[in-house]
Amino acid sequence: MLEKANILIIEDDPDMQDVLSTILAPAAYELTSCYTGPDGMAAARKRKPDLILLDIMLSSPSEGFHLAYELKQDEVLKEVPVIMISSIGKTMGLDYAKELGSDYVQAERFLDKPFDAKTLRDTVTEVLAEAAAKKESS
Amino acid sequence: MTAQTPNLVPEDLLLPTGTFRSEALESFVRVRWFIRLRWVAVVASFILVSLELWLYEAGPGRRAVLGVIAALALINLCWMAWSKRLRVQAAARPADETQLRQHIVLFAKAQIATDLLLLTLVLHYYGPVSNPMAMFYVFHMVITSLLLTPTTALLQGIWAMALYGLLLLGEYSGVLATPYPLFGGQALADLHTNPHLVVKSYAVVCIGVFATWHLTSQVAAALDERERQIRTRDQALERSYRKIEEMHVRRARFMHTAAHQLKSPLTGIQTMAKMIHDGIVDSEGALDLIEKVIRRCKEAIRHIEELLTLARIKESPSTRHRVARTDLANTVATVVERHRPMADLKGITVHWEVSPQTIRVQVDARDLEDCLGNLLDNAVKYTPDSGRVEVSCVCEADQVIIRIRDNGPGIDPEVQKSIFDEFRRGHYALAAGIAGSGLGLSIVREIVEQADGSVTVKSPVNQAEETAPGSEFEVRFPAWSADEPQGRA
Repeated sequence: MLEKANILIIEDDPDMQDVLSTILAPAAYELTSCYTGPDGMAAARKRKPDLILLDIMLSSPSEGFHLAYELKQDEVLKEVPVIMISSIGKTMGLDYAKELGSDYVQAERFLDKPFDAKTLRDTVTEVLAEAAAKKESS
Repeated sequence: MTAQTPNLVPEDLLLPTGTFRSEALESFVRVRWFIRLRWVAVVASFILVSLELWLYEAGPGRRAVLGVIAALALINLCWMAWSKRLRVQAAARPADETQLRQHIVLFAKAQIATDLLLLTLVLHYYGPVSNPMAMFYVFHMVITSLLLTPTTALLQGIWAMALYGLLLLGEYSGVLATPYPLFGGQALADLHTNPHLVVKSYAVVCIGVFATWHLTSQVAAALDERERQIRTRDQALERSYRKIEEMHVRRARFMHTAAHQLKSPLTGIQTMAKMIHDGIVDSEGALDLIEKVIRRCKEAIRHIEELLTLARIKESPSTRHRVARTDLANTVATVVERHRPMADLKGITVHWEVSPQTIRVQVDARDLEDCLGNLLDNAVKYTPDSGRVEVSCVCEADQVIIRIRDNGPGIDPEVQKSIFDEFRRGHYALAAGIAGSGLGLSIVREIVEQADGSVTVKSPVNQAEETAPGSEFEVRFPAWSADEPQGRA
């Protein structure tokens, strides 16, 4: 299941999209990429992904947080694990989260840029395994 | 969006006069100061009269004084009940406090007027002429002038002196019963029939009462004014403090986001370099990554330049615009020519015209170039190939209006609300992969606000279905002169 997982990448930087795709390519995941929050949300609703890789600074400095919050409020998509990828830093992430009335960042993992290929691959594998285990136990 | 010069003390923060008096009066009611003082007077009077009855021969006048003291105690009980009611009303914090304040003032007036009446009765039984107890009129006048308005205090003074005058006259004429001298001083028993003493007593007490009214009212007015000034400054300080605090938060957020904007291309560079280093891509892929690294370096430099521009504008004094006489036609021409190569590359037609009467604007030349440059840069960037960008400048009254219109994809109404915010980028820009820092329009807004101008955005501007929605930015700046025929089209 893990190797065939459908991963949705929401990242406004085309170069970073290429980088993410290149790093994850050997694992043979099914990758879908979107540049904007609304497009990403539409893609997730059209086909529920197994994992979302989400950038934070999209059209506004905090759009990624808003999107994650929206995902966690969605009945269908709330179980989808989210890995936030940004150079914004987790501290500021918490500030944005508080603005939305949440005490924690609405994501399973927070990956700081720059990251190396191994960290990304390991994190993705880990989160997908956790999600699969959770699904089996429920 | 027009910038305004902030007033140090805004008009809406100025407090009405009389604040010290009304606040003091309220606090007096809250702590039941009047009532406590009256209980002290009741107890002291009772002890004194009892002592007198014990030491000297008892008479009808003494018993009458005891009656006055009993009346004072009874009335004080009524005041206590009224005071309690007022305190309950005050504790409920009514939306309209005017009525409560009126009740408090009425309460104070009633107490003082009654006290003066009872004091006159006591004076009657102890002999009003040359009686030192008349100084209590002055005491009441001090309290009244401190707590109530000068007019009310004056009326209370007139009421007191009318009572005292009637008492003296009544006793002098024999209409009222003969006064009973203090502590059995029989030698003073006939003072009320001495016209010189009666007139002198009345004159001295009157002078004391009205001089006290005048002086105390002056002091209270000064205190009122001082209180008003302190409170007004206090509120202005509080407002400034809040503004500074908000500014600090905004600045910290800006710094953080700016740092992220600078870090972003660098993190990409590092990630890509590491991919090459770790052999994740083959030689062809490595070449592709190196090209991306070069592009990101350029991007980082551009972000830094824009941040420096914004910092320069924010730091510069806005007075530079007041003395500026920038030639609009020349500036527009320069900016258009600078963007011509980029427009030509996409086959975009840039049409511009400046109204002949539009001459000079009160905007610093470099800032005007930055402002128009950013708007034109956006228009060319977002307009599709073979599109059209129009720049028009007209002069209306004392303003120069510059419109930059394109037939690009337009801007979502939701995005329009915050389009001038720092680091804000439209969804279309992201989807189309158009590079940018999201600072261009913030620079425009900063310049416009500093120069007392305004900037608005309108989208869509083309209603026809077959054409792209397009957008139009309208910038208004103060014109320096509209008389000289200059400019070109």
